[in-house]
Formats: sequence, C-alpha cells, structure tokens
Amino acid sequence: MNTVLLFRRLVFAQVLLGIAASCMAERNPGLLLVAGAIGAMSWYVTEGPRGKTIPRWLVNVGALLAVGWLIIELTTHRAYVVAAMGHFTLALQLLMLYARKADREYSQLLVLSLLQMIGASVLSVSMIYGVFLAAYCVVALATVLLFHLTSTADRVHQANVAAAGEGPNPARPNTFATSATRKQLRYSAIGMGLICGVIAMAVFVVMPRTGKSAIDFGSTNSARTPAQTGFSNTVRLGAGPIGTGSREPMLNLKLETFGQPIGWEDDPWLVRGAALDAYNPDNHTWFRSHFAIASDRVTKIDTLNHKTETLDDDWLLRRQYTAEIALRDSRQRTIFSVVPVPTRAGSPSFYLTRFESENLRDVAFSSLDQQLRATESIVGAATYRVSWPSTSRRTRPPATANPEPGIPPSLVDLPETALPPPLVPTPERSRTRFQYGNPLNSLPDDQPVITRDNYSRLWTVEPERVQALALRIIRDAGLDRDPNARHTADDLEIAAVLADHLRLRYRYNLDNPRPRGGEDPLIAFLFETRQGHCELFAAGLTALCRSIGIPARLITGFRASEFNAVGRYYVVRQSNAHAWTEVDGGPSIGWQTFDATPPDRVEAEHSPPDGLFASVRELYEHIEFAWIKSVVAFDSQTQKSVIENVTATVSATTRRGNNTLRTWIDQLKSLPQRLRMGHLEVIGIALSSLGLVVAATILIRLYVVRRRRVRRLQLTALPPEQRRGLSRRLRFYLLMLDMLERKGYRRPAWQSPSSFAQELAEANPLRFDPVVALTEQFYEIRFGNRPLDDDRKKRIRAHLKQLEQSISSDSA
Amino acid sequence: MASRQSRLRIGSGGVLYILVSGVILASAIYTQANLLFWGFGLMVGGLVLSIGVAAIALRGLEVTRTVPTHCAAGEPLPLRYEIHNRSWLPAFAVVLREGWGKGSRGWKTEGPAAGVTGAGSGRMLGGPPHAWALHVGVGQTLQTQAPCRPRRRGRLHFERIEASTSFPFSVIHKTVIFEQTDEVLVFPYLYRVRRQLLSNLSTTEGDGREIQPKPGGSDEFFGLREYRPGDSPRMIDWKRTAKAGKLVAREMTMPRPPSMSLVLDLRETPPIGVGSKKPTKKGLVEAAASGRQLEERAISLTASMICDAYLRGFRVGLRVLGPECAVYAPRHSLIHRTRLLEALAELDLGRKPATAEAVGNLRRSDVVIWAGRGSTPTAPGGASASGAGRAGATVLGAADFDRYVTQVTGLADLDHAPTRNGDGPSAPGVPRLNPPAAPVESGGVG
Repeated sequence: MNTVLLFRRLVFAQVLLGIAASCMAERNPGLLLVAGAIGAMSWYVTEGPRGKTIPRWLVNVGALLAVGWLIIELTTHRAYVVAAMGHFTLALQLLMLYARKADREYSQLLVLSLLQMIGASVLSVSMIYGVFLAAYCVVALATVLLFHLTSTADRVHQANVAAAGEGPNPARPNTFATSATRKQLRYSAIGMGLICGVIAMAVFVVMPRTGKSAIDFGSTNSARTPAQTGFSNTVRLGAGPIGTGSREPMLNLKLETFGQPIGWEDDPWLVRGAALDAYNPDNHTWFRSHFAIASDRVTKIDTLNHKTETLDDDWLLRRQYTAEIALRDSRQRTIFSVVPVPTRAGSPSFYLTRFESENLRDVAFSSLDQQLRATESIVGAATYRVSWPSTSRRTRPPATANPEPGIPPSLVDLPETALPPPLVPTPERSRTRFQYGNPLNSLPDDQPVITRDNYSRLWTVEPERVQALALRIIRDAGLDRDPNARHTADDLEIAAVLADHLRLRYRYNLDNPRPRGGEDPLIAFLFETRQGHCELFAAGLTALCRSIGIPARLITGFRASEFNAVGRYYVVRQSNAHAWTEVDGGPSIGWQTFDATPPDRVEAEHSPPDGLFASVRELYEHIEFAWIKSVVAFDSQTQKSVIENVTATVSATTRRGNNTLRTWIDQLKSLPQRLRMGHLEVIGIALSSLGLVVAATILIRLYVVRRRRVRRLQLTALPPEQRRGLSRRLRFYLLMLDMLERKGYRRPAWQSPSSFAQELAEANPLRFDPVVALTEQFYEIRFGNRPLDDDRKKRIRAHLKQLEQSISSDSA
Repeated sequence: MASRQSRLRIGSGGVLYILVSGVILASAIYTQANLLFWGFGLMVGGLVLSIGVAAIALRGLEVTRTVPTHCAAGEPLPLRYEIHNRSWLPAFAVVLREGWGKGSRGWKTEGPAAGVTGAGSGRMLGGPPHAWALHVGVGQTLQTQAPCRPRRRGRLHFERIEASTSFPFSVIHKTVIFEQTDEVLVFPYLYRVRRQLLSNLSTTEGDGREIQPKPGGSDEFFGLREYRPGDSPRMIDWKRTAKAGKLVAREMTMPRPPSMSLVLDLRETPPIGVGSKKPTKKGLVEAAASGRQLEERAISLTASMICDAYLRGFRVGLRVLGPECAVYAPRHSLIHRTRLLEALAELDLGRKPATAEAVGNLRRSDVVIWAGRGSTPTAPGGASASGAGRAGATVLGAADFDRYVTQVTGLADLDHAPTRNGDGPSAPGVPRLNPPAAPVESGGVG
C-alpha cells in the first residue's frame, strides 16, 4: 500500500464528505448536487489516466471571484453569515481540488474543510449531520495520520534535495507500507481515536456553557428556501389552499406529573404559541395588538420564578404538570406552553408557575395574554421547561393576591400595573411607540385604537350580520346575551354553543376556497362557503363571540397528538400547526380554551402515516431526539446533572469497592474458623489453589505458544494430528528464524524458506551455510515426511550451534 | 553509540494545530454550538495524545550508523543506519538526521556544511543528511539509508545522530540524540582521463627506450636455466635435458609494466582568473576558476590519473611539491592506489612551506601536474616545459583540465572496471552493493 496514494484518496473523501455535510446542514440539495458533482469529477480530471491540473493563475482568479461572491452574499443577506462563509470555503475547496497540490496545498485544503465543518456544526442540529460529522472525524483522523507520514517523508526528501545541490536528486523515501505496518497503523489509529473520543467526551461535559449565543447566525435554512407552512405569529386568512405542511419535527414535548411521564396516543395536547387579539380587515390578518405588546414586561427568569414561589404552598403542592419542550431547530421568540385539548365545555387556560431555560436569561411576559416571549431569537436547538398546576375553575388561585405572573385572570381582574400605560391618541405616537414586527400588523387608521375597554371585544367587519348569526345560534340553544354587557354568567356556555355550532355545521377543508373579490374571507367562511381550515374555525368563533360582546382571542400553536412510545413524548411537526380560541369567562374565571375545529378531521389530518416504516421512523426520531437532547442541546443543567451522576457513581463505586475489600479480608480472616480447619490446612489449600492456577497458566501458555507456532509455520490448513506433529518437529526452524531475527535478518511472510536461505547464502556463504542446511532439513520433514530421528536431531543441533557461532563471531 | 539525550519541542505543525483548536474553541464559545465543543474536545484529545505519545516515543530506540572508510567527492556516500526498537510501542515516521555542533543549526556553523578549513575548501556537504523510516515495529530491526554526496575532498566527521518523530499529529517534536562519531575520508573528484593522454604518457618510459622484458612470466621464451624444485614439469626442455644430462627448464618473459611518476606541483597558487574562458565540455570547466579551485583541479587530475593508470596496469609514483606529503615510489597495487588517494585527500593547501621547495631532478618520464597551463604530450619525449624548473618533464596544467578528462566518474565505477591484469577488485571499505554512480554531466570542480 502506497501511503501517498491512500492519503490523496482520503483527502478527496474528506473534502467531499465535508461538502456533503455542509450542504446537508444548510438543507440545500441543489448545492449538494452541483458541488458534489464538481468535486467528484475532480478526481477523474486530476488523478485519472490523463490527470491534468488547472494552472495556478486560474486558481487565483477563481479565489478572487469567490471573495467577490462572498462580499455580495454578505451584503445582500446579512443574516446568513455562516452560510455565506460556507459557500466561500466550498468554492475554495473545489478550486483546490482541481489545482496542483503539494503538502502546503493539502494542508490548506484540510484546514478549509475543517472550517466548513465548523460552520456546518453551527447550522445543523440533525442527527444525520451528527453521523456525517462522526464519519468526517474518522476520515480526518486517518487523513491527518497519513498526511503526517507523507509530509514527513516529503520534508526529508526536500532536505536531501537541498543538500544534494547541483547533483542528481536523491531517491524519495520509501512510503510503501507493508501489511505489518498497515496493521499497526490501523491499531494505532483506532486506539488514538478511542482516546481522543474519551477525552472529547470529558471536555464536552466539563466545558462551561453560557447558554447564550453572542450572535444571531440567521436561519439554518438557505436564504432562498421558501417559507414553510406551519406555526406563525400572525394568521392571514384567505390565502387560498394550503398544504398539510412539512412533516419535519418542530419540537418534542415531554409531559410529567409528579415526576412521572404522561401521555398516550389518544390524549392530544395543545401547544400554545401566540395569542392574536387584533384583526386587520384590510389584509385579513390576525395579529397581536400593540396594546398587548405594550403590556410585555421584560424580566429575568429568576425573578419570574421567584414571584411564582410566593404563591401559596398549597397551590404548589397540588397536582402540577411539567412540560419539557425541546425545540429542534428554530429561529423565533415564541415560547410555547401547553394546554389540555378542550372538551366541549372548554378547558382552563394556561397557568404558568415556573419557567426554566438554560438558553435564555431574560423573557418578556405579559399578564394580559399570558404570552411568554424570548427577548432574543432562540437559535438552533433549545430546551426549556414550563410548569403549571392542574386547576379547575373552582380551584383557581386568587388572581388579585398575586396578579403576576401566571394566573390568567380576566381583564377586569388585572391590576393597572399589568396593563400598558394609556395611549395618547395621536397617529404618530401610535405608529412609532408600538411599532412591532411587520408594519402591516397594525390596525388601519379608520379602526378604533385598542384599549383596556375594547381589548379582545372589537369586531368591525360586518358586525351586525355576524352578531345576528351569533344571536340566532345561541337563541336556538335557549340562550341569550346582551351584546353591550361586559360579562355574563353564561358567557362560557354561549361560547361552547357557538363552538359546537361551527364544529357540527361547518366542514373542515384544506382547500380553503378564495373569497370573491373584496369579500372578507372570514365573512365568506361564516355565511357562504362554510368550510375551511382550523384558522377559519378559530377566527369564526372569535368573531362570533366578539360580535355579541364576549372577549375572545385567536391562539396559534400546535396540536400534539403523535406520541412516541419509545421515548414517551409527543412529537410535534410543522404539519401539526393549529389554531383555536380563548374566551374570557369574566371575573374570577379567566380565559378558557375552545376549539371549534371538528376534532375527527383534524385528528385524521394530523395522524402519522401508518405502515411498515412507521415503527422504524419512530425509533429513528427517538434516537434523533436523544441526540438533540444530549448533544446538541446539552446545557449547563444537564451538565450539572451529568457531573453529579458521575461523581455519585464514582464515590459509590469506591465506597462499595472498599466495603467489598474489607468484607473479603474479614471473610479471609474468619475462613479457618468457618471451615473449622487449622491455619496449616488453610495454607495447604491456598498453595494447592495457587498450584492449580500456575498449572492452568502454564497450560494456557503452552496452548498459545503452540498456536503461534502453527501459525508461523503456516500449518493451519493441515489436519489437527498432522499439525501437532509437524509443529513439534519443525520447532528448530523457528529457533533458527528467531536467531536470525535477533540479528536483523527477518524473513518476510511472502518469502519461501528456500529463497530466504538462498538470499542469505548469496550474501555470505560461509556465515549462512547452516541456514541452507537447516532449510533443507525443514523441507525434508515438512514435505518429505521424514522422521526426526536421533541422527537428524544431532545434525540439526550442530547446524544451529554453528549458526549461532557464525552470527555472534561476525557481530563481535 | 556512546550516549543519548532527548528533548521535546512544539513544531510548526503544533502551532497550526493549536491555532485551529483556538478557532474551534472561540467558535464554540461564541456560538454555544455543542457540536463545536465536541470538536474542541477532539482537538484537546489529540493534543493530550500527542504529548503522551511524545513522552514515550523513541524511548527504546537504538540507532547505529554504518559508513564506509572512504569515498570520492561528488560520489554518493551511503550512510546506513540500523534502527532497533526495544520499546513496546511501534515507532512511526522516524527521521534520522546527522547533527554537528550545538543545536539544530550547528551544522551550518560548525559542521562540514560550514566550509571549515583543512583539506579542500568550501562546504563539504550541502546540508545534514536525512534518513526516514516509515515504521519500526516492536522488537524490529531495520536498516535505512541517507543519501549523502560530499562536495569536496577531506575528512568527513560525523558526530551524532538525531532521531526524531512528531507522530501522530505533528504537534510535539520528540528528538533523541545518539552520540556516535565516525569518519570518512573523501577522495578528490575522480574523472575519466582521456585515452589518448594515457597512451601518450605510457610511451615516455625512460629516455625513449623500449620496455625491457624480464624473466619470471609466461609470455614468450626468455632463456634456459637449471631446473629448480617447484618449477612446473611442463617447463622442462627435454631435448636440452637429454643433451645436458640434467634437468633444464625454460624461462619465459614477463613484460615490465609501464611506470609513471606523477609530480603534483602545488608550490605556487596561480592568480585568480586563470582558466579556460570557453567551456569545451559541458559542466567540466567553469568559465573562470580561482587559484584554489585550480589547485583542487590539479589534485583531482592527479587522482584521476592514478586511478586510470591503475586500471591500465601502470606503476604509479607520486611526489607532491608544496604541501607536506610523503613520496611514493611507482608501484601497481590496489593498496598502493588507495594510499596515493588518501594522501591526495588529506593534502592541506593551507599549509605550505614559506619557502618554495626545490623541484630537484626531474626525469623525462615524470609527469608534472600543476595549477597553471600545461603542454600537450603528443609524441614520446616531445613534451615541452611550461613551468620553471620542469625542463624535460611532461607538464599537465589544471587550467587545461578539460583537455585531459572526459567525465566525472565514481570510485565504485573505477573499482568495477577491469584492469589490464584482468582483475577488478573493490577498494577496501567501499561496499560492493553500492550501486554505481550515474554519470554526471555537470558538476563543480573543487
């Protein structure tokens, strides 16, 4: 095996692997296809039968173009720094693959590939990327080892060439690796890889984490990747048919109560995301109003949790749910919480008691809509835990005692401090102070400004028509309501009736027919089409409630129904995005959840595909979740727990070991008494046991030696009896080989005994004459079936003695 | 092998390694990407491993050097090393390097590459020879070789062998020094002498007299004599024996080989710039040569003539005028040739007597070689004197070097070439396995 050729192949493989991993991390199959094809072709072009490389100037021009492209990318897509750097390094690598390469170029190529993998590691959290990374590390280890060997040989050659001056160039050092070298190199590489892996694990565990990235690297998606359907902080109606969305996992939800995981396939939960309380009829968009945004209070998580701890202990001791939400890969600020799927009568809304995250320090919390938002985008994988008590309407804690945080009180229960300051009704003020996100997400000028009085009660699109519909529905159910009343005792029942009406009389449909020109899609849904997707159902219920004076708001999030039995958690995908409604039940009741969407259709839509690969996929997703949880989203809390576990295990093992040792010693001391024997008898037994051990060791040793002898004499193919006899009779030949080896004459495995003897005899006939004689004896016994009689033994002994003398005299 | 020392240092590869590790660490801290913490952990693992391996690497290694006793300048000098690994760990990528003086740069200031004074001038080596072994297994003994080509004549001293490795990641450079002194005597550059020159010189025996045969050979009939015990029975002349009544044996002639006395005149150094301005043979003659270079050429020419004369069966004697040197009477033997070459190799041009030595009596059969211009020996005894006090002798000048020689050759070539006597012995100390040096088209002289 020529190490130089193998090294070149490994470099090629490593670079291609790096490119593939980078494209995969960037989720850019087109780039993978193009770059992979160009890279793969380089082997044929440069190393093929007519191997040609591109000239140096062309490489330099290409590098300049790559720099230009990098500048353009950084200018046009400022948020995609890592992706742009990845493209740059990729271009340089492709150029260098086609260039003439010496040691310097190879080292540049390796460093570029490494830089690209650094960028890709920032971008990707996928387990497949982890597999790529592991493969890359293995290949990189082999490449670096071989690079070391070949570059050392090259340096030696260069030094010799420099020393030779004008004379002929000296021969290159022989880089051909024999099978023994290959074997030892392989073992060394495996050993080194294992040691590096163990040390890497230790470093990974003990390295301190801040949990906070200093920069926003931009999305893991390419800049040109189209927006995916799924969860959004705004809801735009009437956008035409929508797809089922990507089946890519968005987050994993693990629910616990009293430290035990809960959940099963038929027990869906709602993952609450954004609370949208304003509707812009111009662009048919639901969004979070400026009034709600202004109610956000940025606070530290510790402070937030400290406030919840002041709650009555009795509340905290009640049945408490903890949701561990592991975001796979996101770039958003929404912090999700969990709500039970409402039954017909609605469900209590979200009651936050505790929030824990290693990735976040500060959060913005609004008591108004119980919205918890990160002050910075959560980049990549992150895990956080949300706790809330299981409560019902009757057992809800007093809101007024601890108005903040977590208790979802009705608007009338909220203290003034939890509400935004009064607005000065000037257009300039309203435009500038509460400007947030998309400038389209604001009410038109002709719409009333949202205040405490009309929060979540405002409905301005054909209000009379909608109100008439709502009143007709509730009157059919034997209920009635004054639209001007702020709260009534029947509000939640009315909301339930309206939700039932929609659920039973309207059809769930993803076709989402476009309304006629100028018509509001929600009006079209309520009065004409009577079919649509979950957003229309939720928006319809919200509009109906608001039209008769019941405060309601639209909530977006996910419906978690796919339960992974292997890991006992819910897998939430982009396609599980859902919308529902929250209704304010009034003082001392708070916000209740209503889902007007027909549950059977939603369930059918969200149900995971069955089939042969379902269980395999489930297992894969569980492994990937474990990967993300333990590696990608490894935070300081996990770190602390791992270190504590390791310390505890080590100390327990040490303690147990000491105890065991002490027990053994005690048992040993009391052995004579227990066996009712004297000390001499015990010593006798111990000696006998020792003798048995020694005998067993000798037998094992003999077995091993014989096996080795058979292998060295290449007798393994013979029947056992013949093998045993020959290995005993041909021992003299191995003695001779050992003798020669000690003096540096080693017979290669490929060389026959006769040619080896011949070679030695040609080099020094007098010295190695006994070798020839002994080899003849070897052939006679091995292939001629001659017995090893006394005469032959005598001759062999004489030859061995002669050889020993000739070798030692020569070396002296 | 007298003693061994070891030292550790961070090489340039180590600096790069640490730099890349730093970049990964910075990226990890900056982005808090856990995969980068893994990557950094791997780099730390590699670093720890490098330190550990460096601490135990080369520990059981034994290196010994094997060198011939002499070689010729410009000819490959095979430096052979025997490496034995007594350790329980295999050694990879072992670099063996000759070391001189203090530190790793000692070869430039104190070694043969420094151009130390003594025999010859200029650097003896272009740099320290390096050898390389890909793998030395546990308990294995292997041999490797470092290419070395001395650039001038003189004594080449070897002080120590530096065995080093930076396996596995080129981070830590471990060096083990083995003190072992050796010495190689480097003969002057050897050239093929033009056939015509030797032919012309061979006829200048005595004062134009023919070579007298003498008895004792087996060539032609010389005479009769009384049979002596030990004579071959085949040599008995039975007719004469019958007539004389006692055993009479025939005596056959043995031709006396031609003799050549070389006088190397190095008393005066010619002025700088003397030399052929027009290269007549590519690489053999430079456009201009300094006086010292011309003297070296004269020595090379003398050595070349000695070797060529030996091949042709000449008896060669040598006398050196100028530097201190013994006088060698004409003889023909391999040992004699070696002695002459040794004497030429050790000529110290820096040590000339203050007063010029008298030439003394020169015979017409003497061939004077000096650093200036010479004459062309065309006919028996037709040589003209070109230098003072060399009346009657043939004078060969180093300035006309290209007129006398054809190409650079090696001692091994000369040793393997058949002599007139039909044998081709090897010079002692020169391994027979050494491949003959390839002909060199270009090469400096001196």
